[in-house]
Amino acid sequence: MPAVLTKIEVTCPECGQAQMESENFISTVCRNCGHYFKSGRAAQTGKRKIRRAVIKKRELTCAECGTSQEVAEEAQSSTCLQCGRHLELGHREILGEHLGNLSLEGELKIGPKGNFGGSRARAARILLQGRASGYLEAAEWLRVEGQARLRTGASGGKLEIRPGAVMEAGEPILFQSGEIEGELRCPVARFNGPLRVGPQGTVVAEKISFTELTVEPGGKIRAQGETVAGQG
Amino acid sequence: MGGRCPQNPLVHSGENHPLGAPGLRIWGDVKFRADAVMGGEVKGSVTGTDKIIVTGGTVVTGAVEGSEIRVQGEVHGGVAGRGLVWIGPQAKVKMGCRAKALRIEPGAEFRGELQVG
Repeated sequence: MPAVLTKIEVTCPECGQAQMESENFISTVCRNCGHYFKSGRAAQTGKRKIRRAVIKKRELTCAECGTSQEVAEEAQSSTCLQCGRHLELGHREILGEHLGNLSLEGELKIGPKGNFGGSRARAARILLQGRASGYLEAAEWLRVEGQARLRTGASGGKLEIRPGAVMEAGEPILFQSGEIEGELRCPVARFNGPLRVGPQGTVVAEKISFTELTVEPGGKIRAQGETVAGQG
Repeated sequence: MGGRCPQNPLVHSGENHPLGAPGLRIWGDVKFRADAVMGGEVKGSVTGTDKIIVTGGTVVTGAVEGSEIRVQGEVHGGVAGRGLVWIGPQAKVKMGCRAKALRIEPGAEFRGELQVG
């Protein structure tokens, strides 16, 4: 025998119409005016909102196409929504010999005994303390500490050569700006922004170009120089 | 005062030896024995023992040599300073620059050999 459902009388809060509903009813529609309303109990025991942990995000720009997207701060890799390129977000440290190309959105450190033997390394930031045979591309900065030798060239945002450090490049280098506190030797150097040679800095190049140049007392530069129009 | 040129007016001779005026042309080299401010057009070189300022609108076809040099005009023969050389935002310098310290401002035009330090 089926269980008997107990009914209760409920009144529409909109028009006052009384109608019978199951005593466990959660919500209903007024048969007179069509107003939707909830039972008092449902209103009291309404769904508890689940508080989700806030995921901290950061902006990531694809090195291939330049499209920006937001990714979780802890994410180790992602895919560009625009071009589909795989984006390795972590950092990498080369302490010995590394063959093969590298492309990361994080930081690449080539240690004092490290040698990057691939043909191209790309990272947001590159700290170069050892050697590199391949081309280095540092979107934000390339910082040279120690005695660094590049068989090819380099490019990126800012080139920083720390005091006592030496960077010798076999092919042209191209950066947005430069801070030379150590020694830079290369055939051609182009800076699409300011170049500063500090008191201990030395630049020796066949050809060098910049939008503005500061050589502080004590700093040295030997090159065929030329100013270039700044990129607006 | 150096830079005396019989055909051209000597505009002013003071402590800082300003030499020049709109339309002034000097054919030959100019030499200063004190701080100097150079204006006009010089078909030759400008040499000084102290500081030399090449004002805006000035054109020097030769070189400019001094202890400290500020260029706001044009120098076609290069600049050589024993101290600081400053090349201003509107300045044009060709041939090169020799100095102990150098500042080339954004907007300046420079082309030539750099020997600094």
